[in-house]
Amino acid sequence: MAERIVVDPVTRIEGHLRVEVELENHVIKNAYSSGTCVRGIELIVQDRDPRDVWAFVQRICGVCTTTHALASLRSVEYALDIKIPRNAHLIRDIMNATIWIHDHIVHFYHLHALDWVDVVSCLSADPAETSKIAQSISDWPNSSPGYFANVQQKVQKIVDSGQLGIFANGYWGHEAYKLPPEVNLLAVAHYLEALEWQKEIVQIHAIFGGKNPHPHYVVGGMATPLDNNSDNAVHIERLMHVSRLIDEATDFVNKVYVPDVIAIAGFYKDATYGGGLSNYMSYGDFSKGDIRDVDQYRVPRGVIINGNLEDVQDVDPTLHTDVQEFIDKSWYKYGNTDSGEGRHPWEGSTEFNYTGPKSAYTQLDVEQKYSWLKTPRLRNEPMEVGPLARIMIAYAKGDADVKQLVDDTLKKLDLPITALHSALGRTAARALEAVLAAKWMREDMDELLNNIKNGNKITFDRTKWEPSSWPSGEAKGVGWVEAPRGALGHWIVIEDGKTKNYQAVVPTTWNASPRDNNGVIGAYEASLVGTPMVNEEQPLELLRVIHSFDPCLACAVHLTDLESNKQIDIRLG
Amino acid sequence: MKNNYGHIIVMGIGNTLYTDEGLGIHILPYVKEALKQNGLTDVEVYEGSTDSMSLLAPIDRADYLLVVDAIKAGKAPGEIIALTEEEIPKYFSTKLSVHQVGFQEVLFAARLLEQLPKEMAMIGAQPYSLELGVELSKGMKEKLPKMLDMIVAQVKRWRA
Repeated sequence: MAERIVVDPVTRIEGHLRVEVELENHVIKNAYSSGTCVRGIELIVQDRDPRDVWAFVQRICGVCTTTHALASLRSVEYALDIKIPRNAHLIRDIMNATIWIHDHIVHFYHLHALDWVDVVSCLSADPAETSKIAQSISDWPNSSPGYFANVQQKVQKIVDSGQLGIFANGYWGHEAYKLPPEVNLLAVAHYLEALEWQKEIVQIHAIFGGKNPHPHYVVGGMATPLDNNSDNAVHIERLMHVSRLIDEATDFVNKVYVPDVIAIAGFYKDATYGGGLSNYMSYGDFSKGDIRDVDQYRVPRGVIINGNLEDVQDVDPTLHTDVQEFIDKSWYKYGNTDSGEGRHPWEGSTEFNYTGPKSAYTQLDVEQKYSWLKTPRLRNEPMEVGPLARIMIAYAKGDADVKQLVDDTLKKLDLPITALHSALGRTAARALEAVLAAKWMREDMDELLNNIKNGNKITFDRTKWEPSSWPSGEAKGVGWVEAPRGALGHWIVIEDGKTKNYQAVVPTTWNASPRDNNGVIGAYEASLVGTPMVNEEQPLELLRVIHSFDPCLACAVHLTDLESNKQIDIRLG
Repeated sequence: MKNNYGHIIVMGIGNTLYTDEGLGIHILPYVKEALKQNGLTDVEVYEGSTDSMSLLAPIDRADYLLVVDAIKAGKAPGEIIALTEEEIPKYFSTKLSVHQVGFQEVLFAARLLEQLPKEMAMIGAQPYSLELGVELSKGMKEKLPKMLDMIVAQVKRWRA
């Protein structure tokens, strides 16, 4: 077998991922991505009351908790034909926008920035120069030379202590780092500010959902009592608090996050790698009307094949052809067969069939099954989902807000639209859509406040709460959500008031899937091919590409590989 | 609630979908009850689940933090493990934790922000089972009273 570099686990992600790549002349020639732990959430909700399922599935992941709850609710409401009240729709969208912004900012600063920012280099920065740069790109108030000098001292203290913590695994001084020390210092300062900021924003979930993590929802709307006259309800003070958090989030996105991304990208214009498939899919979400009104989605639905922006195709999650999961390279079986068959999630199953190595191994046998992730395909095509997919589809569909944001950004950087097909493009797309999410959150909150002012406090429709009101026989539902990481779908089959079958196809499964029945590679694998690696023992560029997707395998997999105590294992061979 | 000792938080972490991995969460209602019975009503009980950076908020609030979690330390199943302050970072840095949350990273972030509690401790047990399942294993359930005693004792030490 060819020489392979193994990165297992990929750190600074949520969950457990293994990547193996083959190199030729310092360029990645071939790549394999493997989820190395198993998930079985579908099995836990079997036979349960569909009204309870959301509460179980939101525990798939502590990070994406609310998006799984939302997808589950929508699947049940689809199956039972329940239309939720306007206020409930607004609250759900505000909560989803909250998780978008929280996730995107935590991803950029705390999971991804250190691939582009050299922390140690910031120690040699001139704080006065950093201050000048900061003031030239934003009117964010924390920008004095003294402020940046203070940050520098904090980092110095950590370095002096010898306990580098999360900074210990960095490839500091790697030649692929291009930022001047002063910009590194700016980014590190905002790393700290973002940590502080993100503590507050999730209070929006705690207020509307009663608690966080794992806020309360209900099939048919929201369990949020809107009442100014009760201390136990969501009263005006709490609503004003939400309002203030939304404004602070908007400020942080526009004055810190976006200027930082643009400033950093300016030094990495030659980092054009990491694009990959150029196939993009979005189910769409954030409807101005109801979730059924697909034509009113603020995140449009669509599919782009081979980067062709002239032809945006459609996707329908209820169609057998549009979402099919293959298991040719996955440790599952479908009844008596373990390959060649793609199943739509309504007919899907979760039957483990581990055929991989029984003990420690040096590299995966990719001729056989090699991942705990299944392989979803849309009309036999692999898809990338997530921020870049959404931005490309909205741009191609001529969405005015997206066009303006994208064109302005590209103009500042003097780059063509094709530059977005890259790791850095993915990272930039995430920042741009945070701008939009903040705007929608403000719009939705204003509408909610207005409704309450006019006496509309309804958040729950109970007409179909009782199972006696449900259709007899079998009812099928699908709930789709544009989650921070991309298109999320939950499919449910209800029979006699119980959950007969349940399947979730999560964004990271689309992106990190192994090869399909035709040997076609998935989004992670494709994005790695062609990526240069100047130092193969320090796979910085590989991490940039993988991190640019914001992998979250907590939902895709469950940690069972407990014997390895190592943080990271990079091997040749 | 303010008092003379400072703010004490008992924080459970873990995932209730995988039997004993949910130890830190399943135990919390009993913790509340035990604290109440001992008149320790000013202690905050926090469900941390598998949340990551958002946990910085309760960590910042805490002067004293007691983390309850399933601990995989190569011991016999059901063995109760109490870790002191110095041992906690080591425990997390070797990823002995049985779920995905990078709690060690959260603690480091708290250190960066200079918001670490004055004192931390950790109580847990070696899991019997990490299989799918929304309840604790029978063996683990039997260990709860002992752990509750230890949690109450730790809280009392901090209040002394």
